Amino acid sequence: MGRVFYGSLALGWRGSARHWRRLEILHLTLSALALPLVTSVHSIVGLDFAASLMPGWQETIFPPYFVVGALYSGFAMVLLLTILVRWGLQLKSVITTEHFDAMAKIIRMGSIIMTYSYATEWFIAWYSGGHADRNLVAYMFKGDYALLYWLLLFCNCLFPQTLWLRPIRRSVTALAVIAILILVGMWLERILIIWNTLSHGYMPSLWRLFHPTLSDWSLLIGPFGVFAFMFLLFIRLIPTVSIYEMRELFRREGSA
Amino acid sequence: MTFPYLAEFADADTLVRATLRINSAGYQPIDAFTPFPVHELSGLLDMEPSRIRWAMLIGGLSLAAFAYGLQWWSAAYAYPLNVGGAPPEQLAHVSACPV
Repeated sequence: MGRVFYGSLALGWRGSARHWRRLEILHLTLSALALPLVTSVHSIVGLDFAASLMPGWQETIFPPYFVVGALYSGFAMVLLLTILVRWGLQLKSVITTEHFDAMAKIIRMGSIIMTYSYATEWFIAWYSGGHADRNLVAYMFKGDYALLYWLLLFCNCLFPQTLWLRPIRRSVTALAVIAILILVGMWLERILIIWNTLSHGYMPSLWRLFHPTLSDWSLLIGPFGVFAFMFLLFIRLIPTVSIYEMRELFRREGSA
Repeated sequence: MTFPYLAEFADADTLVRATLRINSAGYQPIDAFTPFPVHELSGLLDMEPSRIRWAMLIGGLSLAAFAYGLQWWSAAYAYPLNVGGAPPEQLAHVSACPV
């Protein structure tokens, strides 16, 4: 019974050299497909804003800005989950400080590009000379949500610059703090894109603040539980570290 | 009469060396089973491309055509949008693009 069940799930996999070759070709093809997919999904989300007529949204920088933002916060999330899984499953010998160092460098680069994107937004608002655009940037820095905006700049632009220091890049605690701050900062960025523009559009009679209701808060907090549940199920049912790739690594390291 | 031989090796390097020697002796190795990918083997064994490739290509192309057709049909006939008086059959090609 078990043989039939697992045997049919294996779909004829016998560990033949041909099977391995096909697996690797498929692996490479799917990874090559994933990046254009990320780019297209987030560009379209950015275009949805850019195609509007609102100040703060109608910007040609939005598609690449959203792609970089998605990669940036995604990397912070992956970093945080890696730290947790490494701690929870005792994978210190598999996930090393070298890996963290490399991830930290990519996050540092992401931070620089995000900062550049913000600066482009401010510059273009000033340079275009549009009253509403200039007004909106002033509102972002000094208006009702200014505190959140400064916190965003601290989390996304300023604090990750500590990753220039090698001891910080190699400290798991420091990286966890930075990852959480980036996640908070990127969350703030996304709500502030909505809040600032909708609270300060062309029509002063429509200027009003957003007040989150119970539904908003539960929609924010609830998915944490769903995600944690699915993620824990995933690491319980599926090997978190690819065993065959570890065997390959052992062979390479052994013969080198 | 020919006999197939089955041999077991302690590690991957011995397996690769043995396959090389069998090849240079003029025999054709049939298959090799390993617990992880051994890249040296792919040149030594006779590897014809998988037949699944054609099925994947045809499946992928027809699904893409179907998805595009569905979007075009919904924007042109099922729920035609009037944007600036443009003919919906042509406008639908534009709205089906960015996906």
